[in-house]
Amino acid sequence: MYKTKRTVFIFLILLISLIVLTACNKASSSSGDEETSKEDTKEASTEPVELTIAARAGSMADALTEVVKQYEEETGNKVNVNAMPYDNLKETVVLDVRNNSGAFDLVMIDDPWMPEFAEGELLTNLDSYFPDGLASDFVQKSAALGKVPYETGSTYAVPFIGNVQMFFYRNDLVEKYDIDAPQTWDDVLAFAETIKDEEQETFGYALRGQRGNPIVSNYLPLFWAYGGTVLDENMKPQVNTEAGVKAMEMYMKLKETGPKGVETFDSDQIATSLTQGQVAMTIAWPSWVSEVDNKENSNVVGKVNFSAVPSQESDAAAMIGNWLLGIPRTSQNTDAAAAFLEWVTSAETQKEMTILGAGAPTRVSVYEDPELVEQYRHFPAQLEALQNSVARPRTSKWSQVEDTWGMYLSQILAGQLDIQEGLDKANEELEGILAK
Amino acid sequence: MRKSNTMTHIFLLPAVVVFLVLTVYPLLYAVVTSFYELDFLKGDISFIGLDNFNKLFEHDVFWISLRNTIIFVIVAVLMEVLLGTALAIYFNSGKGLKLIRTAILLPMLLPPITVALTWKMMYDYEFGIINYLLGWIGVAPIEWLSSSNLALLSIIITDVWQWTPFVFLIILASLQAIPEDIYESASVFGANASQCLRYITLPLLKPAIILVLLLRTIDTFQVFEKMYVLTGGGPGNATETITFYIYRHGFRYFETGYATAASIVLVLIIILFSIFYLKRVLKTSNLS
Repeated sequence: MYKTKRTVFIFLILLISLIVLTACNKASSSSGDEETSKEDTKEASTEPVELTIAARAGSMADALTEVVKQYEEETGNKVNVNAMPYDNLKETVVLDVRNNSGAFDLVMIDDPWMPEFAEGELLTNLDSYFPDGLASDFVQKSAALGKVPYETGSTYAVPFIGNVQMFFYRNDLVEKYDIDAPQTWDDVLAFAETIKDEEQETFGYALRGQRGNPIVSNYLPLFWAYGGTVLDENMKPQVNTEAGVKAMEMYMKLKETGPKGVETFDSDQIATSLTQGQVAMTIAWPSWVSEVDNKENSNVVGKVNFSAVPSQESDAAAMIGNWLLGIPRTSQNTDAAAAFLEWVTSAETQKEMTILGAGAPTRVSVYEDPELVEQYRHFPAQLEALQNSVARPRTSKWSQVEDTWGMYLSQILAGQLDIQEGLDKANEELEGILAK
Repeated sequence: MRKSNTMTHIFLLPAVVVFLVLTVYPLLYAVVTSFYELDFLKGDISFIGLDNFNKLFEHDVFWISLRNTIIFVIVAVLMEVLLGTALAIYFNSGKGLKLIRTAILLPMLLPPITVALTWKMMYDYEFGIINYLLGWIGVAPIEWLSSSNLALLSIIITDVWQWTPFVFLIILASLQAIPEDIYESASVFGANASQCLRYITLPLLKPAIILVLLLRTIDTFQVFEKMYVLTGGGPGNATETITFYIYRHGFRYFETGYATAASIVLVLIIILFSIFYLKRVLKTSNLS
């Protein structure tokens, strides 16, 4: 008797788990139909809607949170800004769309994610909302990032924050040693060595050496300046070429002129070193300009100049790193989201966001606004850098390429591997990743 | 009797269902997923048998991450248990116990991410307080996080700082459960303090020690935040642990099948460790 009860009990449990299992499968398999039905039930724009934005936490999300208040007043719509750290943002967006939860109506996208997001069909095609393409006022290099395929295809995202790498250097020291502002990496090294030998408190050049995205973003401008190409036209990696080796040799020499501990430096340590007057030169994003000129925290207010990234064998090549705004295909308020997108990337809103501290607009007219140029002395240099920038390779495997390449670069930097050996290993592993 | 059995089953049912749905089902699902090539971002899925595991075992970085994890677990757990037990025995006899107990517990109450961020500042080569204090006593500054030889040890120190209090707490509780009269009769028979420790305290603490070893081992295998914040797995792969490896493949590249296979390996290792400890626990409890 006892035994049969146990059998019944086990059977019951199996039955329940079976129900749960099939319920889960059903939820994931119904994703296809949802898209078609959504077309018919587009929101009427008269009723107030609630829009939710997944944003990268930081000064831009803060500025966005401020600026949407105005939009809420004008339209009666509600806008929630959900700010999260870099890694979480990507995870959250991917999970949201793949699980069809539709929690977000707009998402911020780091530009190298675009090919991946496009291949995964995570975003809504915006061509019907911008039938004539994006306004020509947008910096063309930025607008190209939101198109799939790059530059030529349909628009899937609108450039929102126009970050581009710039070269920061201490102009007071340039004047003190009576030299020209560094133009090439050789100049940078020579100046960095002078600083290291002559100055008591200041080091030469600060690297951002943390493994993964930081070191790759930091090394790429050198790699490009020496004529390197990450992927050739057949999508084969070329990171162990002569250019790669030369760039890494220069990178190691620059490391010697910098403070100790750069192997784990990320942007916050670079910002501290720079604002404390500890380093003379570094590559950084424009959003840090406000930190450098912030009288409360900075020892070097007005002493730092900003220019295009140095060149070497090829022309200067600053890396573009824009944030784009797109509409996930699972959004329930596509029309309202598109209207908001148009508003938030308009010249007026961008100007307002810049004043609120978002840092980097994406429209030419905003960079040339006399009022802003007066307040932000680096704007002309920034616009020029943006217009001459280079995008990271357009591959859906970029996250993995970057992470893997960055791991070997970090090993070389930490002295665990020789330059050639490390780059060869990196190239071999990247070949495997891209062949998949 | 029979009736109460039925009732027992009925009352247990909700707990069993929750357990099945939240633990057994995901685990089985994970085992199944590990046999598939699943790209979560694109939604592509295809059955590839044991290929994920083959690829995993061929990847040097996986072995490096496993090696780092095992070094981390063994060193950190041993240091935590030794230090925690020593502190507990010391403070068990001392006065002002309550105040000290509260003070010692503080690190454990902090969220790991806060601990990691605080230590990152303290370890800073130029501006960190540790190198500053070392400078006072004439020690040259140390590259705590940026040297590949020291980075793992630096993270171990952080973990020991945070979790020694946990060991302290459990051992102290179990010390206070040892009846005073055992010690009294021992001293009547002429046992000195070190004999009391060796023949009374430590044997009676054995089950508690094995318990904390088990709990700390399981928990330390899953260490993640500290690497994530302090070093990002670097320099090179000096602090790459298996959880970080799983995270990168699962949540950065969305190779869900592959990451799941790596997780299954981690689960198996933890189960092996647990069986080892549990056998000890059962043996001890049988003896007593």
